[in-house]
Amino acid sequence: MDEPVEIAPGVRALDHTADVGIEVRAASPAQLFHRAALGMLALLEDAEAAAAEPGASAEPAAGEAHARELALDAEDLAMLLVLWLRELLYLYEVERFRYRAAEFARLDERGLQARVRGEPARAAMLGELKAVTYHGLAVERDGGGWYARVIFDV
Amino acid sequence: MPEQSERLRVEPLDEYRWLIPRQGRMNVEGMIYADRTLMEDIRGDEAVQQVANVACLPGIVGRSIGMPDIHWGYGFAIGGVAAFDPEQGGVVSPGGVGYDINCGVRLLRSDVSAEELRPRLATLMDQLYRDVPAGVGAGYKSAKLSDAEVRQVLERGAGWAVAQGYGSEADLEHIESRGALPGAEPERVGERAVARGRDQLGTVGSGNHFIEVGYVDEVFDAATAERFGLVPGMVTVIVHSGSRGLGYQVCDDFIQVMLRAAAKYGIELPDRQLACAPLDSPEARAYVGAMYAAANFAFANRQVMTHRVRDAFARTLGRGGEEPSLGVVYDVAHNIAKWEEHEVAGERRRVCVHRKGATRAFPPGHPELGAAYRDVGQPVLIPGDMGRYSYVLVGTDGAYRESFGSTCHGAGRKLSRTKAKKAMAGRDLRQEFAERGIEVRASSYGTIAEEVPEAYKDVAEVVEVVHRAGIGRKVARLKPLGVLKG
Repeated sequence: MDEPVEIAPGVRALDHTADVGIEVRAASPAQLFHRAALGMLALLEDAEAAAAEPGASAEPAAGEAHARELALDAEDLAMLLVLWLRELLYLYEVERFRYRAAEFARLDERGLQARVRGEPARAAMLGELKAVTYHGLAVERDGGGWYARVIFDV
Repeated sequence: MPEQSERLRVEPLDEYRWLIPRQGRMNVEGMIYADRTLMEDIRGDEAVQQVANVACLPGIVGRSIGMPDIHWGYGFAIGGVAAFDPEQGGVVSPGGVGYDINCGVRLLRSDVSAEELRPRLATLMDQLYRDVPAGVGAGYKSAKLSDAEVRQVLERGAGWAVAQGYGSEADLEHIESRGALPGAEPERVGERAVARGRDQLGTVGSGNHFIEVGYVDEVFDAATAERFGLVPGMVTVIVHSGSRGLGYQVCDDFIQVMLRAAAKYGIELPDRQLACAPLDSPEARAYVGAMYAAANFAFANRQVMTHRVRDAFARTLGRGGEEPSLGVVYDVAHNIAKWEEHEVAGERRRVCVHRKGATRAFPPGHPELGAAYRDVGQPVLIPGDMGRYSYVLVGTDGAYRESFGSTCHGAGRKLSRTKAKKAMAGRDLRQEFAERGIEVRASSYGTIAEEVPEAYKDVAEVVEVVHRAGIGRKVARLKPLGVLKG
C-alpha cells in the first residue's frame, strides 16, 4: 500500500477499492470528532479548504453567526461517530452549513450534545459523498490518544 | 476490517465458475463467475469473503453469487446477487441494494451516423454540458420540486416524467418494470431524503455516473441487434445514473432502522453493513416501500435526462426542421431488490432478489418483458470505463436458471480512487482522451482522474465470462465519442 496522504491535521486518506475513507488520530474523543468532521470536508472540497484547523473549542471567527445544537443518541462511540458525520454531511449538502468547530457539552458512548459552529459553504464541491458507512468502522484507544477509521460511499 | 479471504476455500467448478463451498456459518454455497485472470484480481480483494458473508444471512436460497466484475463494497460486494425466501426466514437488506437505489443504465439509439455527428461532436458535448446539470454542489442543480410533485415522482416514476412532457408513452414500453415499481410507498421516504433529492431530478451526479455519446462499433448477433434497433455506425447514448441524494438518504435511514431490527429479531451480523430484517417484518415492508419509491425516482431521473439529451441533439443536429430521433432501447436497474418468481430446488418460489451491481437478464418468453422484447429476451446494458467500449447483451435461460435472471453490470473497479489519481498525476487527461477521439466534459477534473479507464477491469473480459458461462449473450459493442461526467 502507498504512503497515506494527510488531508487535514491528524487525518489521513485511506485507500479502499470502491470508496474513500479517513483515518483520524487525536488526543481526546472531542478532538477525534472534530478532526473527523474536517477530514470529511477535505473529501468534499478542495484539499486546501480544510487545512486550517480552528481547534475543537476555537473562538468563533468574526461575524460567524451560524450555530447549531446537536443531540445524538448511540450505542457506542463508533456508531456515534457515524451519526455525527451523517448529520454534518446532511447540513453541508442541503443547508450549505459548513462545519468549523464544536463545543461538546457531553460526548460519551451513549451520545453527544454539542453546539456546532459553522459558516455558509462556499467552496466548490469535488464530488458527492453518498453516505457515511459502517463498513470497516473503528473507534479505538490508541496509546494515550484515540484512533478512528471511517469509510464513505462516493 | 473483515477477515482476509485467503482463509476461505474456493474451488474451480469449470473454466468460468468458482465455488465457495459451505464453511463456517454459511447457509448456502457461494459462486463467482470469473476466468482465471479475473479470479486472481478478485481474490486480492475482500469480495470473496463478502460473498461468503452474504451466504450466512437467514433465508438465503440458491447460492450467494458474485459476477466477474465483483469488487469489495460495504457489506455486500458490488457485483453480487442474493435471493431470500420469506418462508425460510429470508431477509431484505439495504446494504444488498446499495446507497444508490436503482442506479442503472438507459440506452438510446439515434438515426444519426457517427460520421454525420463527428464535425458537430464538440458542439453537442458543450450543449449537453449546459443542458444536463451535474447536480453536485450549488449552482448545478435542477428545478426544485414541491412535496406534492416529489410524491408523484415516487409513485409514478418515469410515467410522471412522461406526463409532464418529458418523452412519450413509447419510452415506457422500453423500461424495466415500465419505469414504475408497483408497491412504492412515498410516505415511507423520510423528509431528509426528499430534501436531498428535490432539486436533483434530471441530474447526473458524481462518482462513476456519466452520459456517454457513442456508436455501434460491432455486432455479434445480427438478428437480435436488429430487434434492438442497433445498426453499425449509428450513434447511441448511454445514461448512467440513479436516485441521487434521495436514494442515498433512504438507504442510510434504513440502515439505522435495520441495525435495530437485526438486534430485535436476533439476527447475527458478520458485518454491520449487512443490517437486515425478516421480509415479513414491518421494518422490511417499510424499507421495500421506500426503496421502490426511490427506484421510481431514479426511473424518472433517467427519463428527464433523456428528454434533455433529445433537446441537445435537436439543437445541435436539427436537419432543416427535422429533429434527430432518439428512441429508448432499454433501461435497466443494477442496484435493486425486487420480488420475483424463481425456481428454487425444483419449486416455484416468490423470492426477494437483491442485485447490487448486477443487472436483470430475463430470457425470451418471460412475462415481465413488454411486447417489444418478449420473444427475443431482455436487453442488458453493460457500460464500460468511458474510454474503451460498452456492451449490449441479451438475457438468457442460463441466467434465469442459475443466477436468478441476473448478469454482470459493468467493468468493475481495479484501482482505488487515490491510486487512480496518482497514476494520472502529471498526465494531461483531456489531451489523452482527445487523442483517442473522445470529447470529455466534466465539472471537476478530479472526477475524471478517479474514473480513468485504467482504474477499471477490461469490460470485454467481464462480458466474455458471462457470455461463455451462458448467463448473458453478446449482441453488440459500442464505442464512446463523447463523455459527460458530473
